[in-house]
This record gives sequence, C-alpha cells and structure tokens, in this order.
Amino acid sequence: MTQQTADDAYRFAQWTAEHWGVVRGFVLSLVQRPDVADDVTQETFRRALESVGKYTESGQARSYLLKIADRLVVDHARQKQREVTLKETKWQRLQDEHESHQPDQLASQKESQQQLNKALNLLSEEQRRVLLLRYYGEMKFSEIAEITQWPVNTVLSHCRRGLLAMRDTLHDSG
Amino acid sequence: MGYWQCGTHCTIPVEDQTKDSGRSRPTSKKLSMKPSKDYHEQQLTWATSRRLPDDDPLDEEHQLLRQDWEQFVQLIETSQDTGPFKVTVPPDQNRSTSRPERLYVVAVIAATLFIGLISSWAFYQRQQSTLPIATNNSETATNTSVADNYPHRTDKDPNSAVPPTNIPYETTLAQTEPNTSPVTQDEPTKHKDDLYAWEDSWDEELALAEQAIVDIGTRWNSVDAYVDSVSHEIDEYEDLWNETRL
Repeated sequence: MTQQTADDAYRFAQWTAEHWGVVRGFVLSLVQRPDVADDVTQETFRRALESVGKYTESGQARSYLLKIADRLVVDHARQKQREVTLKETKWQRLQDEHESHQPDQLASQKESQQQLNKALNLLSEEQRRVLLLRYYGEMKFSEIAEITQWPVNTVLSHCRRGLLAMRDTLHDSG
Repeated sequence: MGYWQCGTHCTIPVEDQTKDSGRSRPTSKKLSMKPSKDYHEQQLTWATSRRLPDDDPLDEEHQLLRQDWEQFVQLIETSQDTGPFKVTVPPDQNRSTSRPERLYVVAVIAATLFIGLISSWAFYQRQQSTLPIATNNSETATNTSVADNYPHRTDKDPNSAVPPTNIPYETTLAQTEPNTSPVTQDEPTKHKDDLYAWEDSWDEELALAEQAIVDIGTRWNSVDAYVDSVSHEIDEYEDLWNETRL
C-alpha cells in the first residue's frame, strides 16, 4: 500500500466516522424513507471513496459529501416515479421492529419525526434543500447557491419563506 | 460598526460593497433606505447560525425567523440521531436467523448452562465429601473399629460364617485404627494447613482396609460355598420329591 493510498483510506475512514450521521440525517429529511436514506448515504460514501484521491483538503469535507448526497437525492426524486415500493405503513412497521432504542425513546423520536416530516412537507423541494443544507452542512448561502446553481437571492428567499411556511407547525410542536 | 437608524424601531447596518474574506462589513459610507441583499444575507445567516453572535443584533423580523429556526433545529435533533455510524439495514437482511432457529439456539444455550450448573454442583459436592474424611479422622477415630462393626465375623471358622448384614455405611477406612495415627491425635491443626498431604499413618490404614477387603472376599467365598451346598441339598430334595411323587 502506498503512502497516498494509506492517506486516502485514513481520510475516508475519518469522513465516515464524522459525517455518516449528518449525511444520513440530511438525506432522511429529504426523502423521509429510512431505507432510501441508507441507500443514498451508502452511495454517497461510495462515490466519495472513488474520488477521495482527487479531493484537496480544505476543511470542507462535510460540504463536499452533502453536495454529492444532494445530487443523489435529486436523481432519486427523478427516478422515484418509476419505483414500485412497499406501502409506507408496512415499511415503517418493519423498520420499527428493528430499531434498538428503548420504547419510550423510540416513541418520542417517532413523534418528533412525524412532526418534522409534517413541517417539511409544508415546504417546496427547493426550500427544503436550502434549509437542510444550511442546517446539516452549516453552509453559507453562497455555497448553497453554488450547489443548487440558483442565485443567492433565490436561496435567501427560499430560506426565509421556508421558515415562514413552517412557523405555525413548528410552534405547535414546540 | 455603523448603523443607520430606520425610524425608531429598527437599526440597519449599512454595508459597502467591498468584501473582506467573503463577509461584508457594515460601514457608514453608503446609506440607503432599502436594506441591501447583503444585509438580508447577513441577518438570515445570523438567524440560521448554530450560535447567535452576542454582539450582532437581529431586527424584529429576523428575530422571529431565528425562533422558527431554533424550533426547526430542535425538532431535527430530537427526531434524528445524527451520531456517527447509525446504520440500519433492510429488515430481511438484518434478520439472520428464523424464529425456530433462534428458539433452537436459546434451547442449546439453556441446556449448556444447565449442564454447567449441574457439573459445578457435583464438583462442589465431591469436594465437600472429601473434606470430612480427612478432618473426621481425628474426631471419630477413638470410637469404633471395623471388627466391632462385624458382629458375625468368624475368621476361625469360615464354614460357619454368615454374610454380614449390618455393616454401617458410615464406617470409613479412617476409622479402622485410630490410635495408630499420632498425627490425628496430637496435631489436629496440621490438616488445616494441607488437607491433601499424604501421611504415613494412612499406609497402615490402607493395609488394614486391604486386609478387611480380603476378609470380606474370603467370607464371601465361604458364603458362596455354603449357598452351593444348600442349593445342592435343595436339588437333592427336589429329586427325592420327584421320585416320591412318581
């Protein structure tokens, strides 16, 4: 194993340890399906692994990964109509059976998840992407504009309108 | 940092267009009634940042947006575990064993534990049963002897011997010749030091036990001969009875 390969492997391991949860949370919030979120997250890291050698270290690994994940989610949304999926309730039941949390913790988490999904469903896809990139990636709006290829003003507008759209639901849940 | 007073309620920082490391700084060079794009970006950036800077005030609208953002963040954090490596796999892949297989595994584990428990208990009992032989040697040695426990012993006349019927099981080999064991009499605490140490007196006890076993064998042979003779007599009586009957 060359030194470069060893460095890449170490870097990838570090990415996985530090950013897996963030990327999965971001994807899950967008697709709202744990199984799809797992697949997309895995694919994100697979692609990151392929290109880890080309990555130049700039302290922006999370943004880099979220950028890949965001594109994959957009691709997934395009393909979604062609998919044959299990009914959501059945899948959710199967998923819940295999969660390892305590029942009360699981119930609380599930309730919060439902409220979050409810709030996110009030948003347009653009608003959702902007808010989630802002939260998970802690990106500047200019960076979000670069990823989404929208003008900064549009990004700002999506952020502001997204928060306004969720206001009632958020305060009800709080 | 320069601010432009907008009426009595809001204070708007006014920025120039020169940017320093990607972030605009408010100055008083350019005044405008309409808040600039940078102003909105800055306010929204602060409102949606992880930590709100203490020295950067938000206007009323963005304070409300900040509250919305905090609610949104709280909801995400409580609904999702964003720790590293929380990987869930599809149920069918996660279920590596079927229910009968799991029951079988549980049964095997339970059986193993049971056997282990029984083995431990047996080992413990065996250890407990070996200790009294050594320790009782000094306590009960003066009471009885093997000869005393064989009331029908008649070594001189083997033919008249009858099988022993009342040999107590409690009689131990250690009880045969208690007085010949000075260790057990004089130094009772020595056993506490080394319970399994071999003592010379045990050789004599073993020899006596051996002799007792030989005696029992002899008597058993004599009894066996007696039984043979009795059965021979019965056969004769039987033959006689058959002849008489015929």
